[in-house]
Formats: sequence, structure tokens, C-alpha cells
Amino acid sequence: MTDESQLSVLSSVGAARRAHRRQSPRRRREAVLGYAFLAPVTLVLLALLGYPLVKALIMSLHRQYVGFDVAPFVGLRNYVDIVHDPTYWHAFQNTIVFTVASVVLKLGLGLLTAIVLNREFRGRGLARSVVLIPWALPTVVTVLVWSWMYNDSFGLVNHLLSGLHLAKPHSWLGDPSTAMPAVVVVDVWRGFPFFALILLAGLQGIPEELYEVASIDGAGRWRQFRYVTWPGIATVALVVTLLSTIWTLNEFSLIWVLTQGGPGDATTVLSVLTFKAAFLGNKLSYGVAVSATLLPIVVLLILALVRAVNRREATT
Amino acid sequence: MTMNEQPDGAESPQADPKRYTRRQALRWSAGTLGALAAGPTLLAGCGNGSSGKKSGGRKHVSMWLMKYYVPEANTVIEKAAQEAADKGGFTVDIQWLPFENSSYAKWSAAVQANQMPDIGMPVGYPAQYWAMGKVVDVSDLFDEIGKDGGGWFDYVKDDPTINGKQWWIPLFNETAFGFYRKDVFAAKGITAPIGDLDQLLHAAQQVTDPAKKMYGLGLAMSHGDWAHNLPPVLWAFGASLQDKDGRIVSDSPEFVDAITWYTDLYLKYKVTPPGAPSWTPASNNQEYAAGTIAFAANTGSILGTIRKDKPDILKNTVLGPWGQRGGNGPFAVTNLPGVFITKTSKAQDEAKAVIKSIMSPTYYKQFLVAAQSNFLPVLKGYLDLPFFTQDALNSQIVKEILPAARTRWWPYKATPTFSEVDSQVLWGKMLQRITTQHWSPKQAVDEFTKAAKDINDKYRQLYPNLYG
Amino acid sequence: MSRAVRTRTMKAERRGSAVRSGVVLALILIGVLLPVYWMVLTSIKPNSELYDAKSIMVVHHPTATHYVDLFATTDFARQLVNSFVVATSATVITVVVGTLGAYSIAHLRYRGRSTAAAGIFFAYLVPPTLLLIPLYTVFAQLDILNRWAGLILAYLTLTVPFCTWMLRGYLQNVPWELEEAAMVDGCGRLRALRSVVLPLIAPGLTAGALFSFTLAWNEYLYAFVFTNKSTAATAPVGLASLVLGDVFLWGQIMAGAVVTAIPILLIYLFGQRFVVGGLTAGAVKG
Repeated sequence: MTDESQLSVLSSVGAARRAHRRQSPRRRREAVLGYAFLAPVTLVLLALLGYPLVKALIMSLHRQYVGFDVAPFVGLRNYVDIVHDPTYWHAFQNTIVFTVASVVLKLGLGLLTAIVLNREFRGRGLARSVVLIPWALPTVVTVLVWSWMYNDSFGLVNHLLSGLHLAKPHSWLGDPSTAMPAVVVVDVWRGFPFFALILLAGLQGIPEELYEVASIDGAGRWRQFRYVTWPGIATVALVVTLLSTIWTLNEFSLIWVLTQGGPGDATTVLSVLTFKAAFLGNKLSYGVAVSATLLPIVVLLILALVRAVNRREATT
Repeated sequence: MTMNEQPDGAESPQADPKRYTRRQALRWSAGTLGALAAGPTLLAGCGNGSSGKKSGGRKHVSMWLMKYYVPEANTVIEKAAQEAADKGGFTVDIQWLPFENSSYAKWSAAVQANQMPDIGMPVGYPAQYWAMGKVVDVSDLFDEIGKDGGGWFDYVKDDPTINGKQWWIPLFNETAFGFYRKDVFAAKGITAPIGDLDQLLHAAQQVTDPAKKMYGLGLAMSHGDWAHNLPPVLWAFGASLQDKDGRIVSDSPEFVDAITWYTDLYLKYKVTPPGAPSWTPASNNQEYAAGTIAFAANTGSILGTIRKDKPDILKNTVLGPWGQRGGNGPFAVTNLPGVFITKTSKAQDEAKAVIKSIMSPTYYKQFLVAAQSNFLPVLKGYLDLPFFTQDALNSQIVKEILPAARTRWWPYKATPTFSEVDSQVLWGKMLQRITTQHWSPKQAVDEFTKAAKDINDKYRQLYPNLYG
Repeated sequence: MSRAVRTRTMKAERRGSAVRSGVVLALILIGVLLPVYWMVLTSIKPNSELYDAKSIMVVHHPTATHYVDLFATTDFARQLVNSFVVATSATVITVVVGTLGAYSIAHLRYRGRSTAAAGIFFAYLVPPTLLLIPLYTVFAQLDILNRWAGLILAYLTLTVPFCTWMLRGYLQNVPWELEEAAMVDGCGRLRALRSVVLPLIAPGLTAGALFSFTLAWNEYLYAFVFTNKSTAATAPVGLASLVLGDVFLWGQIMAGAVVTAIPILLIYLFGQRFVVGGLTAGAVKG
């Protein structure tokens, strides 16, 4: 899209807004309707998320143990303790490693899948559905299946790798140097179809003519990707990446069932630490505080997301 | 979709633009909100009935039990509970919770919301709920059941006793012992069972042959089944997590020696499978059933598996206590899953009737037979059941193994400390540090001890009455 | 502008890489299907072959026992029904609530609109583990533990924000002149919404519905904590309860997984066209 057309779009949006402002009785009716329509979603979110969040944050300022009615107010004590806890920082580091590795791979594999599925071939519809299978399976089953696949004696992974003479039988989840990669693989396997789905849709929105123009100009396939494909799906990729980052930051069941945070604490991420503190260690308020330390990161991610989307909106 | 069915469909299409007004908007949103509010209520109404409430004037008993691995035994418990309900004119339901993290979350949520079931078998040990003041005195029930069942074993009686009263009812002995492949050992001229630790290691070295997928000892270097694998070795060396006064003594030289011996099996002698640091509680069952290990230490759950699916391995299996060293041992490790009645229960008498029915001679006999030696009696009166006396393996279990049994928290009692050291997977972390991260046993034990002491201090402060 | 431009024929210059992308696709499909193949295989394997290093990739005596046992000895059938009711209700409510909210923030002008739009996304701030205890307390007070209603409400927290934003993106593609025209012709705005706008965003509604249904159908932690009876539980909870301490009933677990996955796969197979169209517009625009 050229700069001029963007400008003209912007000015016409502005004109429409000014026109709106002039019709004030109509605007008022619109506002009433707007609030009324917004009410259900607001109500659902406030009651089911806002209220518990506030309750949880207040709890993190107290010393609350499971089963005790009395919870003395301790101010920021829990947060101070967290900052001085080396276990926390180790888990923080693991969380970043897990999230970044997992999201980058999901994006990369998702993009690759989207590109090959965007071509025309027979059975494409079926292939697209098949690729979605990992996303459609209950997580609890996915994790059980993979933990068994990683089993060093009866697992598929060792069976195939040693059958193909690629690697010696190995205890993938038992070795601290391979446990994190092994966990990431499972998360990627489960999550990349969602990326593929959304990116595929983005690809379909890129007009073929752009590729034709690019190839007439002599652009190689990398340059075509760089100047045609990527700009066409950049926003989609951004949205899905940020959303997935938030979900991945909070991932718990997958890691816990596969490794319980081990071996040692090689795969202990913050959600595992939260769970251990709150439900195994009875220290509810401490656990809540641990997971609350992620809030600033998530807030930043969301703000970035909202800004990116709004910018896109303004230029459309 | 749903919206198309809104009553506004009746609006006249001729309505002037001003007609979609506040009133209409409100009707729309009120309709939606109404649907939102009414929907769940309606669904709830036709849903699944509620627990812990009287239904039709009858009282209700809700139970949360851990889902142990013998479905047939669980069925007997269900039948016994139902019979008590039928006789007493009340209703009962049982929720079987899996052995995994979400059960801890569920209990925590229930305690915080004051929504505990009438009868509970917690995922940890019951003592914590006593310390929180959530359970009622069941001394009378305990005595009655003991009298009907020929008396409790002494160590069983100690378990639920605090300040001279009993607060929960142990349901059964979940006892772990050694499983030996006598054919594999015999091939090297060794007679199993082998209780002595040094001899066991020596025998394991002889039979280990990675090329043939055979390893001498199926002992986990992870948290998987630590409670069945580690305690006999610790006791053999004269070590334990806590002393008899409840102090953490895992930094003793004996403890370090025991852990060194244990992890050397993997690091130095390589008589355990290479995957041992990532084993789950199910791994030794699976490996033993697959015939890849010559020794495993576990409850009867292995027996259950091979009885059903692997008759050739069953034929070549002998059992026995293990962990003999110097004057100590051999040992079997036991756990005593118990149920308590909650203070918030509105049907405490009915709850007692349910527990009494489960432990009554009629049902307890059925339970033991259904449990197929996975679970053993806590009452002395059941040792001479034909089930135990007429089968070679079973009689070995009650004659040789049960008398050697010690609770896994011996020489102290089952406390929140012991429970959390377990649930925080500290045992497994310590073993993995040594076997996979090249820590020295001393370093790993020190880390373990520090964490255990922190936990112990926390609970001593929280529950001064429990730790005495 | 571009959704109308659908996929078209490949240019000759790019055909050369068709083989290469065929290989890539084949590898991806193998990666996706191997675990699935193994799952199905395990579900028809007799127990005696389960722990046998020699028959990892094959089955010698296929059996339907696990499927029969699953339905005969557990409450799995009932749990499937619960899953279905809960997922369907959560989906319908999500679509209704999400459409209204999205219409409001995408099209109607009023003060606080953009704050509300951002606020909806902030819902994802809250880690589910954090919500467990407060929600449990509230549900206990409302007496909707063990009931479909509790789970439906819990799932709304996961589905409503995403769907609202996605539908918002869709609504931004709607040519509003059509709505205006309908209103000039004498339709009220609501009628115009019903008869003009909703049909235009039908793919978006479908996509949102599929997303919500998948999520609610597969969720485990809330379903486990908020139900106390196996007859009130959902299918994933039923599957997890087949892990009996030391003993995994692998055959039944896999049989259950296959049964649970089938409805979702059917829905995808039929709704796939809409999902692709639907998620994209939402994601691109909002």
C-alpha cells in the first residue's frame, strides 16, 4: 500500500469521525447501545477474572497458608523474599528459555507448514485437517503419549532413533541437558498447528500479482519472501506470537506431567514453582506472588500487541 | 444463531431509525444477560445433583479417596459404602482422585473454600488436616473396628494416634518388598531372594548384560517409587530423614553413605538401566513385566501386572524383604492410607457407618481377596484367610514380609514435613543431581537437608501442637 | 481487500520447488502422525504386547477390549455427554457475548471504547492456576460445583477474550454502507445487524465457535477441580483417572483419546474452510 493511499484512508477515517461527532443525538443512542452490548462481556470478565485477580493480588500481600483463617498482612514481604530466592531466578531463566525456544520454533514450523499447505495439490483439504490433529487432542493425552514415547525402554523415540542408527538409546527426560529440549518439542508439537492455521490464512490474503511483479523484477525466492510474503503476514504473525507467548509463559501441566520440573530443577519454570509453593508447600500467598511477578512482562506484551494492532488498524 | 431468536424479530420493519432506542437496546442486553444467568441455573437444575446436601430429606455422605491401582478392590469399597447407605437410609458417593498434582490443587481449593468432603483420604498424609483442626476424633470407631478385626498391628495403631486419641482410620497396608527373577539369578548359580545389600550388588553385577537388555537392579534414580526403593537402603546404613524426635538428620554420615551406595549402582556399577534417572513410579512395573530387570522393589502392583499378562515371569518370581547390612534388616516398607471424617461434615454418624462397613469382616475379607496382595491387612485377624495361606507367594508375603514392615516415615511419624519432602520431589531431585548433574553425594545431600529443614521449620511453627 | 483473492495456480518459476515442498510436507505429516499412529496402535494392542520391546511399532493380535472396557467399566460415556454439553454451552454463550462485545467496540462510537478493547485482552493476564481457589470459593457459594454451569462459566474466562477480539477483526471488514442502506430502508439497527452484518461474518462466528469448542472440550485442570463425582466429570478427567498410581491403563487411555479426538476432527474436517477464513481476518485486524 502506498503512502498516498494510506493518507487518503486516514483522512477519510478522520472525516467520518468528525461527521459522527456532529450528529449528537444519534451519537448518544449509539453510545447507549455500545455500552449495552459491551455489558455482557464486561460482566463476564469482571466477575470471573477481575474479581479473582484482585483477590489474588491482595492475598499476595498477606501470609496465607492453606487451611488457616488468619492471614497476617505482610506488605511486600513475599516479593522481597522472592527477589532474594535463587530458586526463583533459576526458574525465571528456565521460563524465558522455555518460552522463547518454544514460541520461536512454533512460529518457524508453523510458517513452514503454512507455506507448503498454501500450495495447490490434491488432498490439500485433508492435509490441512490432519496437521490440526495435535491441536485437537486433549493436552492430558498428548502429555501422557509423549512421556511414554520418551520412555527409554519401550518408547517410540529411542526405537526409531536407534533403528535408524541416528542416536544411541537415551533417557531424554532424565538427562538435564536434553530434558528442556524434550519438553519444548512436545509443546511445539502441540502448538505449531495453531500457528500454521493462522499464518496459512494470512498467506491466502496475499495477492498473487505481487509475486508475479516480484519475479518479473528478478527477485529470488528469498527476496520474494522478504519483500512480499513476510510483510503480508507480519501482523498476523505478531498477534499469534504474542498471544502464544502469554500462553506459553503460563504453561504448567505439560511440564509437570513430563518432568515434575526435573531432573534436578532443569525444567522448573515459574508456573511449576507457583504450584509447588502454593499447593504442595501450602504457601498460597507466596505462590500467588511468584506468578504475579510475571504480570509486568505480560502487561508489556499486551500493550505491544494492542499498539501493533491499532497501528495496523489505522493504516487499513 | 441464538441471536436470531430474540423477541425483537417481531419488530416492525417500518420502524423509523429512532426506534432502535434505549428501550430496545436494554431489551437486547437484558435478554442476553437473562440467558446468561438463566442458562447455567437451568443447566444446573437438570445437571448432576449436588454433593454434601440433603436430597429428599436424606442425608448424604461424600467421600474423596485416592484411586489406588486395583479397580476390583475399589469396587468392594464402593459396595460396602453403598450397603451402609442403604441400611442407614442415606446416600453416598465416592470421588476417586488420581495420584497427581491436580489432586493437591483440588484439596487446597476445597480446604480454602471450606468445602471438604465428609470422608477424606488426602493425597498427602492425614496428620496435616488434624493440625489444621479439620478432622474429628474417631477413637470409638477405631476401637470398635479393632475389636471386630482381631486387633490392630502395633505400628498401625501408633499411626493415627495423637495425644492419646485416634483421628483417622488406616484402611490397609500398602507394603513394598523385593521382587526377584529366580531364573535369572539361578543361571549364575545364585539363589534368590537375596536380602543382604552387598550380596545383592554382587549378584546384580553378575546378571547385568546390556547387550541382552538385562539389568540387575530396577531401582529408580528419580522420584519414581523412591518410597519403595530408598528407605530399606537408608535403614540398612542406619540412616533416616528424621530421628525419633522429628529432627531432620539427613546430614548424618550414614545418610551420605547410603545415598552414595545407592547412586553408585547407577554411576559406578551400572547395574540399573540407563533410563533410571527419568523413571516414573510405573517404570519398574513396566520393566519387570518386560523382563529387562532381575530385581525390583515395589508393592504388589507388579504382581498384579504379571499375574494378568506375564505368566512366564510370574512363575519365575520370588519375593522377600531386603536391605540387610550389619545387624540391620531386612526390611519391607509400608504406607498406611487412612480416612478421616471432617468437622464440617453434616453427616458424621453416617460417615462412621460407611467406614465401619468398609472395615467390617464381610467386606474387609472381600477387599483383601480383590486386592490380590497389593494391599495387606492392618488388622491381625485376617492373616489366616485361605487366600493368604493357600497360595505360595501370598503366604510368603504375610509370613515373611508383613512382619518386617516399617512405615516409610520410621522412626518418626507421618507429618506434613515428610509429606512435603515427598511431594516437592526432593528425593528425586537429590538422586538426579548426583546421577545426571555430577554433583557429589555430599553436595546433593546438603541441598536436600537444607530444603527438608526449611520445610520442617515451617510446619513446626505452623502446627506446634502436632510436632509436640 | 485481499480475502476475496483466493489461492490460485502456481507460477512456473515456483513449480521447481514443488518437489522440495512436497518433501517438507511429508516430513511434517510424518511428525504429526507418528504419535497419532502410535496412539491408535496402543488402543488396539493387548496388554501382553504392551511392554514388549519387540512390538513397539506393530500389533500382532489387535483387540477391541480396551474400547469395550472403557465404556463398560467406567463412566466415560457419561463424561463424553458432560463434555459435549459443557463445550456446546460455553461455545454458544461465547459467540453471543463475543459478538455483542465485538460489535460494540468495532462499530459503535462512545467514550471508553478503546480502553474496553484493550481491557478485554488484559483478561489473559491471569494465570489459570491463580484463578483456581477464588473461582472455587465463588462456585461453592453459588452451589454450582459438580454442575455443568460451573465449568461453563470457567471456560468463558478462556474463550471470551480471544473470540471478542477475533470477531472485532471480522467486523472491521464489514462494508458498513450495507448496514446504513438497510437502516435507511427502514430497518432498525438490530434488524440490520441480524440480517446484514451477522451473515457477513458467518465464517468468523464459525471460527470462534470452533476455537471455543476445542478449548472447552479438551480442558483438564478446571474440570478436575470443579467436579467431585465421576458422573459429573468431563472426558479429559475421565482419561486422567485411568492412571492408577503405578499402573497406567495405556490401552484404555489411548482408546479414550481416540474417541475424544474424533468429534473434534470431524468438526475440523467440515469446518476447516471457515476456520482458515475466520481466524485470519480476526488475527489480521484485531
